[in-house]
Amino acid sequence: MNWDLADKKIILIGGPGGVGKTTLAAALGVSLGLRGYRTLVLTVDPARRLAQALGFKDFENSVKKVTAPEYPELQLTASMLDSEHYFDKVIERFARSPEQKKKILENRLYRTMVESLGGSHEYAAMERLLEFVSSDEYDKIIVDTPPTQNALDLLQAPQRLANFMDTSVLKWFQKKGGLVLFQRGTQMAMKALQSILGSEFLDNLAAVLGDLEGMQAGFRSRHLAVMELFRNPSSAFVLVTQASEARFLESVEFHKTLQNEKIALERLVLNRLEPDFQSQSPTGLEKEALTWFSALQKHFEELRLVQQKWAEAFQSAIKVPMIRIERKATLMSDIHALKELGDELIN
Amino acid sequence: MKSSYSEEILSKKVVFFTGKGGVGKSAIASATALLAQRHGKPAILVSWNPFDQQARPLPYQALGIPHLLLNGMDCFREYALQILKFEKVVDLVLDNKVVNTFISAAPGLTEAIIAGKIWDLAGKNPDAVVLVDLPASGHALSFFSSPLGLRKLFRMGLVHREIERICEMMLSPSTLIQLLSIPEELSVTETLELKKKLLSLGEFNFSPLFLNQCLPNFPGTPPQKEMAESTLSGNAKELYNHYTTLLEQESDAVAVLGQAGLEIRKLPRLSCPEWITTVEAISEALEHS
Repeated sequence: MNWDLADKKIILIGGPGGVGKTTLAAALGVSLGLRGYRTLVLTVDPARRLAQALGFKDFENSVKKVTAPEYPELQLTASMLDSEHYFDKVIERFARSPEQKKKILENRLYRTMVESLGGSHEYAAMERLLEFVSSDEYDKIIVDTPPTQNALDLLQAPQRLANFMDTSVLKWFQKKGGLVLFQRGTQMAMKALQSILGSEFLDNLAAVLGDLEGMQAGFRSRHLAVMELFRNPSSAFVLVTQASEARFLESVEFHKTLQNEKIALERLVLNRLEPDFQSQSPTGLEKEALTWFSALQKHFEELRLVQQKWAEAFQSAIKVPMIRIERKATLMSDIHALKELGDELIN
Repeated sequence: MKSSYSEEILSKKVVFFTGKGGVGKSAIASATALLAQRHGKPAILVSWNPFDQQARPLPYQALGIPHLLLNGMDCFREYALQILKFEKVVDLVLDNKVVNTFISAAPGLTEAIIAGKIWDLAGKNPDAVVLVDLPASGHALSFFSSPLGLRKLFRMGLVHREIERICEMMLSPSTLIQLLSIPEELSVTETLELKKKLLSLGEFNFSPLFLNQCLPNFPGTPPQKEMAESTLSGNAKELYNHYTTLLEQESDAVAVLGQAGLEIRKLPRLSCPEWITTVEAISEALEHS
């Protein structure tokens, strides 16, 4: 079955960590970039080998045209985001003044704070995406989303940052002793909280939150923009996962979240399925080697059967077209290998 | 002589399991619980999801492992009750929207509360080992860094003492961090990064890293490479090539980890049909680690 991507501009590759999203995103990018589309792959923290395959010497925070001598027609750009710079990007985007930016970037506490909200990592990826979408330079944008156990982590990152800076909370902290701003119930609650945490903590936090003031409106509008983008018919969400019980339970939850958020799932990709070798007992091996080889055969056959069982469970639980990708016995270290994989995904 | 994994675990009060997503944290933590139980030591498995969302419902109960899913708000409620004494007052405080936003937003507060709860559990169950299934690397790091960061915010008072207690226990010799990885470049890189960052925070105690999903040791003797290449054909040859590629990846991973000075323990990839049987088989393998 062919996967028709003609009407799709944005392809979001999501799923749990460690299932091979980054490689699949790059592969799809190469494949589409060879079909006449101006393609962009947006990736986060790629493996060194993959970065090299795409022509990156190191983990760079940059946008780069991918070239391959054997494929002069390739129209592919890759953008790699170094996770170390996530936070800086977020702050740069929304700081209201150079002073505010400087103050925030120099204080480790803010970083810890935003990181602990689980926002900046996911947030910066979405931020980058919105930048490229508005530029109109590309026909296809493939987004390798940061690994999230739950789809919500990704979708709600900007919202969470905005909530964190909620104006009503800020107001209280900015006016020391400004309890009067609240209704009676809240006043009492905050006083009780003060007795739990101590006034020193609240004062410190007040200073921190005061520095971040004015940034929340930006986060909120970005959240809306991201949600709109995800729900747009020209966007396709692809869930990449593997055929095992733990991954199955996780993916079903993931799918449920997407449904609740009214985001359509375009494809389910079961990655790294063990190939069916159907190998016969080989001739010409001596006894010890034959014992070893039979055990090898048995092991991989068992792995395959277990995966097959969970693949069936996936099929009946998540009713979208499923793509099965076999585990490759080659390392994804050149454009050609990526093209083959990408073609497998599309065809 | 190097001590075995079971010896190590049996002498600890708290063990944290962390690594990149998909490396088998929950399975190995559960298998460790079974291992401890088998050696007569009660084990309590604790998991924590930083966003308080429904965790995947893994069948811990069927394995007979006491399991606690920690939730930041519930733990804060417990902590607040110790101080405010009256349920009604606590309800008044925590049901308030402003306070609620504040608690979930305050830097590292949830992490510190969760850590506090873990030490309470360890304190109340002095004979048991508390096994903590931490979220993937990034959040695990903030779990360890938050209390150390909060130290700067609280210089005195009740919370200060609580934070001091948490920091002390994190670095205590009876606390262990168990790093996990699989023989794949991304996972190995992330684990090395995590260890480096953790070491920059403090002198944590690490157990040798578990390299999970390695190729099993098959009975018999593998054929010589030249022999295999000349003798095998068709699908059998493909299977053999598949194996050698995986083996190559595995030796790369071992080499990289070795260069970084990490001790490792290998665990085989298992072909059990269900999560429960996988955990039982890992637990068996841990017995010999």
